[in-house]
Amino acid sequence: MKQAIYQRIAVYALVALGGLTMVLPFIWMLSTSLKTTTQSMAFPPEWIPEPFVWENYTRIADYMPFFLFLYNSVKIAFFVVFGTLLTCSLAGYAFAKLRFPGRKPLFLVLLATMMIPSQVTLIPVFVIMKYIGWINTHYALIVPAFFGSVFGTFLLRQFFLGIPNELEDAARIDGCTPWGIYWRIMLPLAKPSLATLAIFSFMGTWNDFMRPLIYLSDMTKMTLPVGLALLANHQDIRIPLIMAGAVLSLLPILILYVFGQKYFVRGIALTGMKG
Amino acid sequence: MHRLLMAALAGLLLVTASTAQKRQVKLMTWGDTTTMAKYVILEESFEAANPDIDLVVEIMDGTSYARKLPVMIASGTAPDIFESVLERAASFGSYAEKGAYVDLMPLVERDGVNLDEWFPEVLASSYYDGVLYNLPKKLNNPACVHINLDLFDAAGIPYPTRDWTWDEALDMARKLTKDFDGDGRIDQWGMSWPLAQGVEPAIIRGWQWTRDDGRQINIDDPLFYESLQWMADLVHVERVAPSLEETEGAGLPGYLLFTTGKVAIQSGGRWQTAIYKREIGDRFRWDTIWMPVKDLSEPRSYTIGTEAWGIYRQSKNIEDAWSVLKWFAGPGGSRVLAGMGGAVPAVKSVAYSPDFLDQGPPSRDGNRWWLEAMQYAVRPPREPQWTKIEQLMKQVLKLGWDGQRPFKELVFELKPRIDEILQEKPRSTPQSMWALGLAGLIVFGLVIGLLRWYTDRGDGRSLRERLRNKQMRQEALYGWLFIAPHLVGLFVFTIGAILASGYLSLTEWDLFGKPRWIGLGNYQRLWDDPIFWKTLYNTIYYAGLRVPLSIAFSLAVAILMNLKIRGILWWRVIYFVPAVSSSVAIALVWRWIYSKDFGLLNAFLTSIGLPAMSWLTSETLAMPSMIIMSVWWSVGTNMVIYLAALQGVPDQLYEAAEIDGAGAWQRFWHVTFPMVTPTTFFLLILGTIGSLQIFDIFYVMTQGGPNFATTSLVMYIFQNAFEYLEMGYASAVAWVLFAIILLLSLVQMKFSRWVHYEGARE
Repeated sequence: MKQAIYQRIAVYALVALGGLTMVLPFIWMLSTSLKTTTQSMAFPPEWIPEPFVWENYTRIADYMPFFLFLYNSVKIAFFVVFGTLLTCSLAGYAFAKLRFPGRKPLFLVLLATMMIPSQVTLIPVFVIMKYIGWINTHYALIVPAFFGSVFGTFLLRQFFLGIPNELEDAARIDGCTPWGIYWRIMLPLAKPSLATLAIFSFMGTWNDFMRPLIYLSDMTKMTLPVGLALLANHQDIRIPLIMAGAVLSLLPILILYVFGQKYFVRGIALTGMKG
Repeated sequence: MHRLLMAALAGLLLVTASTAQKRQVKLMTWGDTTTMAKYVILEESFEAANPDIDLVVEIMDGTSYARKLPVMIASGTAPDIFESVLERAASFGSYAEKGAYVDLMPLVERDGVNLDEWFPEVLASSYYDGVLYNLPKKLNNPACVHINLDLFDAAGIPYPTRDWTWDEALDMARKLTKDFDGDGRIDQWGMSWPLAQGVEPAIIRGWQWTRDDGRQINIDDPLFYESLQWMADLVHVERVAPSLEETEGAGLPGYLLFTTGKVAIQSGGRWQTAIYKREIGDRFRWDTIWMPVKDLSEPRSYTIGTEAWGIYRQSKNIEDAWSVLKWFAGPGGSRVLAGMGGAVPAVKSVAYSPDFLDQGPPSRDGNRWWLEAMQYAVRPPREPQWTKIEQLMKQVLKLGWDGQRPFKELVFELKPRIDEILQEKPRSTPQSMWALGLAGLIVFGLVIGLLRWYTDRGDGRSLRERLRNKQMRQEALYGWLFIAPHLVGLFVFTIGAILASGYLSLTEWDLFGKPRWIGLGNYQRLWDDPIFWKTLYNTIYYAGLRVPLSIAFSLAVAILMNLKIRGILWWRVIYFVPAVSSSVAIALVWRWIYSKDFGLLNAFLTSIGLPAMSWLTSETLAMPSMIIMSVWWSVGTNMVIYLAALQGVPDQLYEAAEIDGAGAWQRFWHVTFPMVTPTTFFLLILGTIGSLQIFDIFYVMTQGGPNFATTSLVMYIFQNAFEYLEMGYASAVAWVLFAIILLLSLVQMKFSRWVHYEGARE
């Protein structure tokens, strides 16, 4: 019995220690963001800001148009999620339930392209965007989403495969077109899967670094992470301000995470391959 | 719900729609936050005189500016006017070579602009191959020294004069370096040389860049490596100067130690005086004087740095841009800029006027000496290939500055690599036959593969029969319609792009003009490129260590999280926070944690009696630091996947094991571990594929250094493509990555089973 108690204490201690390791950098970020420059460089480091410099947050706004970056990030993420859901749900449904010539080979080709790392197509796609004249516009980041993501299509196809055919057959006898079935039956049923895919593509877009870095050059068009990274390069912006910027850039997604944990966890469990 | 979405969509579209504007001229430059304030004034004074032109100024930090501009120029999105440093290959030579600028001479002649307004030394830099591409704005160098007069007074040392020598400077620095509280940490430094990162220490001692008519770099000249070593020794041997990490580590501005009164002698440039005036105020007295000399008999020399403006060749509004440029670079703009402090005006009448001479630090020598120093200007080579050479030198010499290795050793490693670039002949060994054969083989393989898939499934005939039925026809139509957008994506953005990438990898192309076919030249170059091999090694090293470590930790954490403990759901939420955070925010905070002198990690180490480590600046430690951080970052993600797998292990198995008397360890080893093997395998493969594509955190934390120790394959692709504009070579590297990932994916496919689904229509 006694051993069990010790075991329990050990387990709690382990869990707490691990948890602490996970959040410590964030606490450090927050603490630094509220310090004076001098205190941020104190050695040994101090955890409690003295005094609390809340102005760091208003001062960072002088250099980093936070709300503009936020707007850009939200706008891009919104359209990307919308485009991905639309295209992938249509294609996923078609590949799962509709019979048309070429369905299988096309799907297999599509699956095979999952093995292509995005870096290989990066340069040609950049060149395409260059010819269309979409460099330094948000179109370059948004429009490709409307042409689907293989992963999303695959995910939704698997979901639609799990829906019994009887439901569809009944609707078809009632004179429903495939579009009607998709819109009235399949989409409402697929809500949880759509939410998962939405979170998945939202996170990918929200935290995307390389593509905005390549395509965007106007400071007014930057997304939050890239804007922050560029800002951090400025030599005369002090570490407390940079940390304040980092805290601000994390806030939106963390708030979202707290409210939509379930979908976040599912969305990440799907990827298993965070760069 | 749908209506709401549509409304939001329409709203966003409206907001993004651009509105009609007056004639816009966009000007891009770099600078810090003070620069932003300056340009607001310039902008206002210009727009007041030219109400019909809307001038938009965009200011970036120097690094981002240098990285962004090449792509902007190549993709036709560069601003109408942009700033260059005329003496730098990366900033002027390579752009001029690619025809990025408008030839200004016809405009100058048409409008009768008097070129004698500018200092001839400076104007000379504005030409490239005899064509006038820029109008100069300011002279940043020559290099100078800022001194804190109060610290000299406190130590009872007389102020240096313009004829001071390096030995005298060192002597002063020794006396001025103080550890007031005796804790072994220096509180006041004698000297600080943030500019020493470059080759300037050798230049000021009279070193020449090249010899043998530009075919050989001169870094094996003892003058070069001894000068640099002398500077580096100030930090590592003499201990009179702070290390680079202490001055600039963790993104701190290099001048901070001076403005906070912790450095007595600091190298710098005229441009800093504006910042100093603002930051120091009345806290202490300071002055700006000449650099020391080796001995008085030798002539002085300094690298000159001219900031200038040029007009983008593809600008749609060259006339208005010219109006802006004429005013900005001419006496009008120059006077406004001079009034705000900073570098030396390039316009003679302004430089000799009270606007410049009477402002600035209360220099005992006045400001006239800056103009006198101009005659000692040295111009570094600026042909396009020097962009790459500078990058290479910076990466390798960093090891010397950090005291990791002596310069004498580094320069002999570096020299053959640079000479190769200098003597490089255009690669023209067309192996078109080979390449054509390869491309053909790929296409053939694809077609055959497609056909086999198609026929093996035996779908063909039955479908054709089905199509006779009307309902079936409708279904097929809808099917095609539904997949149409995705199909376009597949053929354009994936298959088309991959073929294009394969083609590009067989060409040489800088986004200008047409790709030039060079067959397998890029692959041959890969084979001989030590940096490529190093990045490949780095990437494999990173993935090879990160993935197993991450998996081991995640499994342990998942087992903990699977226990029935109170509040476990909340713990899961906490463990998962890093996984949802953006890589940039995480990289920034970890860069700060890893900081050698102010970092949390070293504070912890020293508090338990261990030595402080150079986490991110040591060649051997940088990659392990990255791996530690990545493991921390990815544990949450992998844990979630393991949790799902653990919850699928039937309880009976554990019960049976317990009856057989298995202990906790045996239960893990004989039940849990085998049961989650498929998950482990999945995580191993997918984690490796993900790790091979690592980019963000390296880019933000170390920028690939030191000496390419943290340059990953994808970073190398990125650099080649979007910084050096070597699209062909970058594509070749990308194909190597592709090959590795393809191999891994095939391994995974071979070992994973196909799953049967209930409602599948066969």
